[in-house]
Amino acid sequence: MKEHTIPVFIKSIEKLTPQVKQFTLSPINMTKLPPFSGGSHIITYIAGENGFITRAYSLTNLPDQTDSYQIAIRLSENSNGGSKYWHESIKMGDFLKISYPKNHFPLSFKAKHHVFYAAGIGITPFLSMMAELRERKTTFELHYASKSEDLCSFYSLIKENFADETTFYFSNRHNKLSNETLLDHRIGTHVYFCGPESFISSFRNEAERLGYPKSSIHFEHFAVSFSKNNKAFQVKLTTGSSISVSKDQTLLEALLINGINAPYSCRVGRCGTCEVKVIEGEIEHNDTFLTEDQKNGHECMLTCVSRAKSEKLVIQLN
Amino acid sequence: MTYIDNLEQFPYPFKGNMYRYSNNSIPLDVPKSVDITSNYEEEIKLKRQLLRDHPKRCFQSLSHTLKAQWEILALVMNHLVNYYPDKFSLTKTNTLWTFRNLILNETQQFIYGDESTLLQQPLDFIGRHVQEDLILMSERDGNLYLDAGQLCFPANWSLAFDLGMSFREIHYPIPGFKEEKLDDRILNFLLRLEAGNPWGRNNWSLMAGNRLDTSLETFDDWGKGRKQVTAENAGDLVHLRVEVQTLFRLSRSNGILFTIHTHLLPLRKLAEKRAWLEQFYHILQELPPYIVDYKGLSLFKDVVIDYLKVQLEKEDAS
Amino acid sequence: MKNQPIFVQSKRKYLFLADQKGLTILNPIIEQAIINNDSFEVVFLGKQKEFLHTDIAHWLSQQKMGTYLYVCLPWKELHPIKLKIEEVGFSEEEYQWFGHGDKSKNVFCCRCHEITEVANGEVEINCQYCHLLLEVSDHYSALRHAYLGYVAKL
Repeated sequence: MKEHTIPVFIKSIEKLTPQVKQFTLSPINMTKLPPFSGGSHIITYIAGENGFITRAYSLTNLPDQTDSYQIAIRLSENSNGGSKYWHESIKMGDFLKISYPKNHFPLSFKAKHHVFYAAGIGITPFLSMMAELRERKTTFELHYASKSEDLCSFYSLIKENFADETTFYFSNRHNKLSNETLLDHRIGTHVYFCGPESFISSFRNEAERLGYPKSSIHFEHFAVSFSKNNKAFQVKLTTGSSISVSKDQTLLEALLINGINAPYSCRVGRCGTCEVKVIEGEIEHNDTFLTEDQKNGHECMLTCVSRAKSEKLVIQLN
Repeated sequence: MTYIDNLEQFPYPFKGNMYRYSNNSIPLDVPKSVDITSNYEEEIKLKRQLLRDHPKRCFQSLSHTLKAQWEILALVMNHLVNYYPDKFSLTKTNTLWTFRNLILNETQQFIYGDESTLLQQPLDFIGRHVQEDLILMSERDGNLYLDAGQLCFPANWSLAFDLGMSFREIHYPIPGFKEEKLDDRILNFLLRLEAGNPWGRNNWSLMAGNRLDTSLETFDDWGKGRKQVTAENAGDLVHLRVEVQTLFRLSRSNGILFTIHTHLLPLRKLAEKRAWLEQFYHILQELPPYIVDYKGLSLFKDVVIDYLKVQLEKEDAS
Repeated sequence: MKNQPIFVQSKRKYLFLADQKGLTILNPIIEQAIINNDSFEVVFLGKQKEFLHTDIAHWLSQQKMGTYLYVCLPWKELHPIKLKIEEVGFSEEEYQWFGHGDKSKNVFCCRCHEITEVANGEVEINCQYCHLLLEVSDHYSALRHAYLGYVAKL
């Protein structure tokens, strides 16, 4: 599927903390960008040496602010190009393409109360979600953990707009966010987790242990986990072609660079559009779409985030 | 009064010599939700008459949909002025919008987002300027619900009954739909629909008579036509009814706009195109009983097949 | 809904809301909670039901996430209580409901949109407002709390 994109340019760059930069993107052809729903993200496409560097980032501006979009990017030590490129190479006035807003982390409609748990840069999707709830006049609270006040992105914005709803937890002050707060939420509450994998799984497990239904638990990994431990692997397609996936590439990127018309959409392992059949090989599943049974079966995988455990895979595109 | 398409405008829906239920959606090359045909004035007049005489049959909405309704109004107005600049105009001074319908010589001023400045709800207002029926599907907690609609030309269904129902609940009566997991597959397709990438599809049925307003509410009246079909009158009485449908993800509310433009063509006209005549004859002959039944063709399918056969033989002879 | 209540494991607390007959139906589940040493509360719904509705809503709204509810009441009283339960915030995954006694069915007239209440099991009925002969279908609308009645004869 060929996706329609929106050409934009970098209107301004602001350093929010020593590690986080905020980029303001303005439209080139249109006067307005599409408004979006709370929790939406965009895909950014930047032309690099090996094709496009594509990354998903939450929109951090207000949903009805349509003259420009804002995204906040943390420089990751493990970066394989995405955040590093954004931090070191992108300048004001640069052109790039972005997707239309997508929402794979929407607010629950039926929830009576919403509770957000953010760790570090995991705060980004919650900004637009809180703005939307404020407008809907629905109650919510935010529990936001960061190393220190200095390293806490959007600290003053949140203080200013959501002071009554927010509790900050700064580990340099030995104030740690614990999953025990999950004990206190009234019936009808939906909880949302965003942060590193370990943070999300600790809160998810505790919520499930307490008896929260799965549909009341929402979570989003703020970045596709690119670890330094990623290994290169070979993929053979049932149509015959062979493709090498380098350690810095996703399988999806490798397929597209090789001119294979592979389906995809969210690029964060959530929507399932890029699912392919696995004929041979073991998978390291990094998505949040497939069920545990499907993951253990090693018969399908999402190309946007998952990799090979073995050296070689044989896959079939539908 | 008749609302008949001429041959060149008619969206003939069939591709092969066989028809089954399927998700036959395709990406729209031109992102356009509405179409103005030569029947515009007649059909708008009929629509408004139906809305006046049977408001509950033709318009329904749940109270939480107003925001999405405004989004639909904006989307449809933008399409009207972009694709038909000689027929519609729209000027915006901050939130004060002035919409002109030059075909009907009507002007409406309103404050965008303020329902008190329109005589109808936003969806009901804009629907009175287009030939399409307009349906809003809201995405709520991972499912899609029919939460608002303006429906004047339904193909034998009731908006008032279906209001608030999930996609699966609405399609529950279609035989074979659930068994073949079509409901899940189409629902998943719809849930993955993205802003900026609209889709379209066609649907068809046969109709004894030339009414556009074949609502379930009036079936006791128009359904009788099915008993009156003979080989002699089939060419004029029986019409191929085709719905041209489009699907647009609404980026702000995260809902889906579903538009339905209904076209009618009498069999006599259809038979003028040899390729169509031949193909449609094969399709009807091969159609399995569960589809014949659900499409309401049981009472007159055989007579229609006879009619088509005679037309084919006539052409062969001449 | 299921005919038999099913015990859902690993909830931090269980609630039971029932009348006399309902309690006997829910009894196996209550016993299971006792055996497991789970925390639970039982609310017995006696005769003055109207009066108690606000109290029940209050009791339900005080519950925390992780709570699981079982309801068993006469069919006729079940629907308004279910609306309350969902309004408070219990989702389908957080409660099970059962009815007992006489069951009736609402039929939505496809022509006039009015609702006619009929005994369960009726196949053809007359709409009590526009008198159209209706065939009762199994197509259900939660919003209308009714089954669709189609034109029975052309």
